[in-house]
Amino acid sequence: MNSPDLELARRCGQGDMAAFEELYRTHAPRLYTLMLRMTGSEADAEDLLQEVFMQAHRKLAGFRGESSLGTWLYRMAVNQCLDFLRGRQTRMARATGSYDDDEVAEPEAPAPVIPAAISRVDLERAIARLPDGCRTAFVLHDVEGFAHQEVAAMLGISEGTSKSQVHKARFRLRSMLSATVR
Amino acid sequence: MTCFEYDLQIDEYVEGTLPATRVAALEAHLATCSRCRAAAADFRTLRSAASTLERRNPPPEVWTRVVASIHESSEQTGWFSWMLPGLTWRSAVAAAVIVIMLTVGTWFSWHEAATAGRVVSTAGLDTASAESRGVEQAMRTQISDMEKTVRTASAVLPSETQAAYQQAGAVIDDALSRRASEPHSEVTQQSLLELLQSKLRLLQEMIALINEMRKGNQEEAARIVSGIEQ
Repeated sequence: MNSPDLELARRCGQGDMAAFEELYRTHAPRLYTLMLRMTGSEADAEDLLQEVFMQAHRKLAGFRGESSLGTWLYRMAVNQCLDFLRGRQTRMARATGSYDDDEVAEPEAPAPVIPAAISRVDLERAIARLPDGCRTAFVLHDVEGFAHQEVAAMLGISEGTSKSQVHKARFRLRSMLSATVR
Repeated sequence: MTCFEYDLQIDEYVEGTLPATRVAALEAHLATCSRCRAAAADFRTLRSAASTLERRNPPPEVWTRVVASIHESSEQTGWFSWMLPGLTWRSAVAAAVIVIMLTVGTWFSWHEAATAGRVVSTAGLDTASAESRGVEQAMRTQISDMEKTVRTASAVLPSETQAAYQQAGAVIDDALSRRASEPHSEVTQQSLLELLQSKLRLLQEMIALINEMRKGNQEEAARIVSGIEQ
């Protein structure tokens, strides 16, 4: 149990707006970046970030410190993103975004196609173009560093599905990034 | 084994989680297969680059929107009571007006950021748009009635309160007229409704104040503005 976290949560729960702003300034960049990469859209990430902090403001009085505030907020952000993505898939009937989508055509390159000094901008753009399902698994595993077991638990999928989604994401990214350097 | 069968093993190999008993066989395959060797090299590059991607800061408008939303949702439960503790009702009016002006002022930048580069689909929005316009019309009618009330009775308010009210009202009206000149979309319509809500809140506060001032009840006037429930 982290007592500075509990103290900050207590102040927020009592309506201390300075404390709430401190909480926001500390955690918003990480959550926003996660949301941006999971949704692939700045506007959606901004809306979701606002919603998460609104939700946090309502629930902070009940924070008991079972996890750190960062973990508590992160979990809330992931769930918010997943709800959003499920809604988006339903609305748009995007079969390409489901967790069981078909195999992608894989490049049969005999030599590496991605430059060693890959541009971060190119990589961010390519990640944003991935289908929702494999983008989520890739972001949580390769970018955020969660193990497949943790990704599977967060997404409510099997560990094997997490692995295959990350694999698909890597092949798709490889294909997209090879196109950018040709 | 075929290359296809080795594919998932390449992922685990790159991640360092492939069981030791399989590493030798995979490495033997990689030594002879340029396709799988290339994939392994690219996966390593991707993994390394992905783990070093930088964080991005959200636009400052998001914090303003969070504060405005909290204010809106907490107003009924006395949000002002902790935001403005100990203020006199006159300074509380000024603070409330500043909050409204800040909200309206930042609306422009967020609205621009939200609409720039975003393609808003209008498919399927017709029904929602019609409902939204109905709400807009009802709010405008209510605002018009309340403005008449405030106009005829505002003499009871101190001059600085009247000036603050006029100034905040002008900022909101200006934002509303700018909105009217923009192409219609779901985002701009939502922003318009938020502006109308701000105007309604301002008018409600003014009318409540006027009522208490007429009664000569300055304590109640202070309580209305600050939201302090005694």
